[in-house]
Amino acid sequence: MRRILPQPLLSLVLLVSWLVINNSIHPGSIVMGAIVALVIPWITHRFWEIRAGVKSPVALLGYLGIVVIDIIRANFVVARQVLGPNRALRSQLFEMELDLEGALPVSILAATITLTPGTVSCRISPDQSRLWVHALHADDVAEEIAEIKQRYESRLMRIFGQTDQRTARSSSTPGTES
Amino acid sequence: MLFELIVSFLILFGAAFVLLGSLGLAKLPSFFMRLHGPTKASTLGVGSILLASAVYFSSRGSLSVHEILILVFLFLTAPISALLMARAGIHRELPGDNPRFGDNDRDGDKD
Repeated sequence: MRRILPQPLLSLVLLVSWLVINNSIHPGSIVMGAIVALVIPWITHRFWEIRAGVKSPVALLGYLGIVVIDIIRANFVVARQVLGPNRALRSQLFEMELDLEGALPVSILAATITLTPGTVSCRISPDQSRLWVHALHADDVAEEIAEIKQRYESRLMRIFGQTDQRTARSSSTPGTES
Repeated sequence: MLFELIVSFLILFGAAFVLLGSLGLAKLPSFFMRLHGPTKASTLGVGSILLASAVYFSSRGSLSVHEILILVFLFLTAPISALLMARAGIHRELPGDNPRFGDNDRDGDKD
């Protein structure tokens, strides 16, 4: 099984993408999509240092739902801030410590911060332990950090099965530390 | 009729947010603040315009789901370009928000 499907999740994503591009679930498309889903991971397996390592797909779906709702909700907040006077805005660049580990989870967190309005992630420190975030308007930086941690980071840690800082550190694989 | 209402609402809604995004780009005072405009417009604004397209083409005959793929790729790539621009801004120490630099941060930033 591992030989045929080295990365089941990648294969599934490729198959679904192929069907969506073709806009059909015609048997022909499914066969072609299956070929794509089998051949591409096989050809590119050498490039894949990072494995997705999703421990809880259900939590991942829940996370996606929360992000979509936040995008819609917070867009209105930013709309009001953009339309209001510039003077009222207190934009700040701040740095936050991450408990989350691994290249992929940190990238997802950074992308989430950028997509949810009001904050843009600006920089990930080389050792991936800190993230720089720019907020368009932040009254209290500590509060902002606490919200990101509680709303997104804790959920991502659950998705990738990182329960505690120490256990996550000791069990991290070499591939995720680069 | 119902579909037309939904589609026109989604297009207007999306267009309003794309307009707000560009307005933010033009009006906000500093580089880092301007960064917020375009990254936001591409989420909710373009999102609902693409949804309108999906609803419109699905309502006249076959189901159309290409748009969802466009949306996914857009959501994957927008944060990356924003991150690159922000990093360039930090490196050039652009005025606006007094970036604080960590001690060994800049030396290790050769990647």
